[in-house]
Amino acid sequence: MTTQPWSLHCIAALGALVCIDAVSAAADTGQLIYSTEGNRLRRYDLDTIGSGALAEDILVERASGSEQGGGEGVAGVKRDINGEICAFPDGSGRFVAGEDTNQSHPKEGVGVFAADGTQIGKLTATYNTAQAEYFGCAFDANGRLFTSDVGTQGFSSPNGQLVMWFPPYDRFPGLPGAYPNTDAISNNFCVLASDIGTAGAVAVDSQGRVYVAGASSLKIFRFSPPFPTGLGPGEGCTLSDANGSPRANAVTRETFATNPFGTLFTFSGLAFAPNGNLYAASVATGEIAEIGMNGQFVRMVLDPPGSFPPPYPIPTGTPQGLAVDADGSIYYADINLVGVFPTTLGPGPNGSVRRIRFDSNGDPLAPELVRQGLAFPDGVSIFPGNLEKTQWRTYAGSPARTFFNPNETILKPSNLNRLRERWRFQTGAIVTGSPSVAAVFVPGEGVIQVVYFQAWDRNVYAVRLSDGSELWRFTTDDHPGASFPQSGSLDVTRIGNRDNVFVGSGEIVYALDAVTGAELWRFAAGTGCVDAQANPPGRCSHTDERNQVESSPIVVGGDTLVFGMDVDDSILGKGGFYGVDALSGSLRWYFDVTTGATCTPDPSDNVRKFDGYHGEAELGLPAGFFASRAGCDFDRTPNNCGNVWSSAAVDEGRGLLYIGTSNCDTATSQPSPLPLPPMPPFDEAIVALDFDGFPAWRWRPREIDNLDLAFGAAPNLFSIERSGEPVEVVGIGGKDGSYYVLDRDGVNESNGVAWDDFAPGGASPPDFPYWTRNVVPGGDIGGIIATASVDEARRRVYFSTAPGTAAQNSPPFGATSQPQRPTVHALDMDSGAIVWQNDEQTSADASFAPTSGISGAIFIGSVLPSISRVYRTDDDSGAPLLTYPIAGGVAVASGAVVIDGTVMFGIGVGQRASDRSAFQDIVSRLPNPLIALCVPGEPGCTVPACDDALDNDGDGSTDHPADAGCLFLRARSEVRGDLDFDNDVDDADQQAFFRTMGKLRGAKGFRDEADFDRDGTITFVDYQAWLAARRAYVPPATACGLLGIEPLLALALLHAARRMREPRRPQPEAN
Amino acid sequence: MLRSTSKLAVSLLLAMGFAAPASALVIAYTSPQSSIQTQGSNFQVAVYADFSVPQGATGMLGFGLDLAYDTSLITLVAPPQLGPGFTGFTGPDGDALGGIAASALPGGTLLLATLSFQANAPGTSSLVLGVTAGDLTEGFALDPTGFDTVQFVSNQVTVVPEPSSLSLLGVALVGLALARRR
Repeated sequence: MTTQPWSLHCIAALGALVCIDAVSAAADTGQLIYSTEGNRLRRYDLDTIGSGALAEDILVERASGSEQGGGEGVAGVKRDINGEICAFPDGSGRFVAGEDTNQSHPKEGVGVFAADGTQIGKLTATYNTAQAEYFGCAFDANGRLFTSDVGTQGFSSPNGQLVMWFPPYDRFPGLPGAYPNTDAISNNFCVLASDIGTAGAVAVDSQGRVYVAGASSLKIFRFSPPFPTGLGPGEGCTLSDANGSPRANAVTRETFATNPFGTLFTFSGLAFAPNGNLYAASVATGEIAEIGMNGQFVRMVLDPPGSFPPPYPIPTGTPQGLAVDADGSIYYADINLVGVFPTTLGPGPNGSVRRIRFDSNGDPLAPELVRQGLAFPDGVSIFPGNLEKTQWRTYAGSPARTFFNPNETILKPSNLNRLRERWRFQTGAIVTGSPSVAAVFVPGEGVIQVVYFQAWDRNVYAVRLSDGSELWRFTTDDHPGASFPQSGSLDVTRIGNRDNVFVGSGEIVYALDAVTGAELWRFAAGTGCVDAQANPPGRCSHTDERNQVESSPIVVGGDTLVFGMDVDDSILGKGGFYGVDALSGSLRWYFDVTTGATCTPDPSDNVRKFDGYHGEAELGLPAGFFASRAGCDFDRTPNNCGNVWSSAAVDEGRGLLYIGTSNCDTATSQPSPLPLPPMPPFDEAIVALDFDGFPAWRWRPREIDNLDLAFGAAPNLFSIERSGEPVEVVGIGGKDGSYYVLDRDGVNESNGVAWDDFAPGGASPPDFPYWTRNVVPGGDIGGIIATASVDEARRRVYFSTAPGTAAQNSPPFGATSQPQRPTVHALDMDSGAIVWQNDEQTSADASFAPTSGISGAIFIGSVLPSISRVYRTDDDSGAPLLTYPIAGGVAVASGAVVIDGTVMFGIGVGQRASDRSAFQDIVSRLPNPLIALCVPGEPGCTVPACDDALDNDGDGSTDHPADAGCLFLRARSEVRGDLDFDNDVDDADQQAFFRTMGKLRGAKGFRDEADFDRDGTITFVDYQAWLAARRAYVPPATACGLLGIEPLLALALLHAARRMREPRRPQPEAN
Repeated sequence: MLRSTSKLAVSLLLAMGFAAPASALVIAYTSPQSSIQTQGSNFQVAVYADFSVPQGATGMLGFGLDLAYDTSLITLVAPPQLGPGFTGFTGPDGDALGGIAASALPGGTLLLATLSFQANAPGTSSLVLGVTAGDLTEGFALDPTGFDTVQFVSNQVTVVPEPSSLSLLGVALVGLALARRR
């Protein structure tokens, strides 16, 4: 093939201006392989090779152009696209590729295509064979195009051509509009040679010399400038060839390389290596050779064993086209030669694209399969681009837990006010964890984006992002006693050849197959919630074992899954932090927060149940385990401490993970089950652990805390500027209403204070943080409970604060008001200064939900009612952009996830209690959905076209998306029969129904929401349904006095949701 | 819902009405039962339903009907005027012989609509009421669900020439008589 416009070599070859731009583009956007496949042009994303989820698409599809006609071609005319692909050197993304090869009408030529695959021109020369075939192409630095015509495909009568073309290229031969029903010839070419034996790839080097492979010539020819500059007098192309076509007056030509290896070598593909050498493929022998700048043989980079002719197909393929990427890796199109040489040899059905990478010594590695099952792939080229599907594979979007998607381009402040419901997935209970999204290969569907989340109905769900349809669900074990049993988000990590879903539910962490939902393993952060006969619930109850994994797990170091465990302040237990083998689920280490010990089982141990306070027999461990394993013989006295409900942020480069720990109630009056103050050293702290579970450092703002000012949010990892230099920090908000920014290595680079420069009495040094900002008084249900969003581009940290209690409010809002205000905050990342807060809003817009950001906006949750709120951030105004009500819910406690123009979050809040009649328990069991919103008209936003208004799911609410299959479009009310969207059903709605009676779908006046039976016509059946809805409608004011109950409900909710999963009053009242 | 005779499917009538006359709870008919109209004149036809509330229902929620007639003889000159308690609507077939009630109507004789025709040409046209199978905007909808069984009574309209035409006819007949007398 040609020189590689996107390779480093290209910089030298084609001139800095063109190629530096191209390399920059490649660095910014990734690289794609373009590969022709007979009658289509496929693209593959380089970054996804070997991931199991190869991102690919078809840019040009011409399969419809059959010999029988149809498609875009004329009847009886076959249209195709193949051969090598060459990008225009102007960075426009336009390209050329062979078209209509091996046919009579329209004549073979070079198709000219826009970046989106639209054909914008055709270059047709004259040929020496009846059904000619294009193969190679290359642009030189002056924008002149060189192409090859294969000619006779044999060893006799070589008549392949090298043709050069003069711009412009974006035109079709013949009269305007005549193509493709014309065999006219273009008028902007000059024949340079017409005696090449089976002409193949074309390449141009840094000196503008043109190389042409001649397979049956067994040579590479080199043509040197000057070349003709046009067809006019004095421009070097005034002769005519035997076909009457322009022919160059003079050509400087030499044989560059010829069968140099003592064996048959059928030159086909060509591509320059980064060092300036030339890679040449031999399709018949399955080889790729490296040829020096003087044509000398350097080495074989692909050399299948055996002698010629080999048995076909050759396992490593038969390379036809070649390309080299920015890293110097080789890609080749394997046309899968099958049969017997020379009689029946021909392309087989399983062509492929493969890659050869090089090791650190520069030696070629074995070829990797990029894609197989291709029909006659013969050309490959490297283009800038990115086909990867956006993913959000772990809580807060990444191990840095920044809850920010900087790559979102569809949603922006200008269109967020047009968000509409795209789909909703109804579950059997509340959804408080934010979803995760991964691109996985689903058989029969290809690589699709799948949304993973869990609901408090004990189910883990995988649904398709495209339409919210269910891929699978997995039901977890019941865990009575867990207050927040399914509150964490899922982590989707590819290990080996499998995408794994990791999720904590109750006290069990499960590994599931991301494609099928099949359970791979489980690990119990406790005794397992089963008895000796393996029957649930074992010891798990509100009065006994309350271990629960509320944090979102994550894989560190490639194969260790880490997560925290919490006992919800039960004096009968204590929490801790775990690292388990991500492949097997066996315990690798356990960090006991209250003692600071790290327990490390022996490699041969297969520990599947563990915590810091149960006995060996209860955990299924052999006698003597604690005494014999490293670090396991720590004090196992339960004391309600050591809880970790924060999700770890991970710095892979440092080999450290960061967590916030919950508070530990202490008692000065002894004896007490509570420890003496101060709190154990790792409680209510920011803790850095290495990937083996050993603490690197810790810091905390106070030594004693019986006010439940825990850390529960996930830490954020980002960089701040200090004295003009970037400093990598960890930031975290606490329920004390403060956000802290600390050095990731444990030493403040500005003042030199280290984490262990303890103050008198052993307290953490107060000057260790780079900055601290307090925004509200905080409290057990206040302060910064959920994770903040970090926008490094705008240098901002955003978060909402929880309601708090009235007694703890601060001026000027009045001590008796609730929530604590302001409730949404934007801080300067470098200084901690408050940039803006929503202190002008007096409505109850506090939230237990994490804050999620995109460029220009942040998404905030809510408590009573359930609304998603969006604030503007691109101008530091903090102006509200949207308040989106979610009918039927009571809160949005799930962080929003924004993927490719779709916003997703769960609905509901609550807490499981020993008393099933408690408000917080009741609301936790209410059916709630995961919601997906998008902006109609924007890419990928397919808003459902109908609203069946049927109570398909039997939840008592009709109307929109809760009922699968027919979703919300225009209706703004969940009240069945509410046709004027004023949340009631009355005479006005009846008149509205009368106006739509008899209308067909598509007719003016047709109302989806009145077509209750979804038959496309508003009929008497719909009228009967409407009347039934009217009769069933109960005005809110008379609905069991709900208005009177609401404040109580609100209060219950606030206490239910305390920390979004952390109420913390120890059962024996703390001192 | 107003159809010409040529489009009328007798089988549908049989299926929807005449097939079960014994159990009919609605008898739909036009009034007057038959009439003679002078060519060129306008005349009205009322559509009634004798309706008794079936067990399990509370009344009628509305109706939709087809009316077939010979359009070469008579034509509608105005939209149907719906009877008391009905709000008109246009059905999917584009006709407007349908009414919907805000609340269930009790049994009795209900005036459904009044139709205004013009007599265009001499001859006799049937007035055939009916419904189209599968069109749920037609029939007699009950509250709370379902449709009532219905029996249709067909009538006819005879259009006679206008007086001047009668005179010419008389002249011709006289002439004929005279001729026979010769």
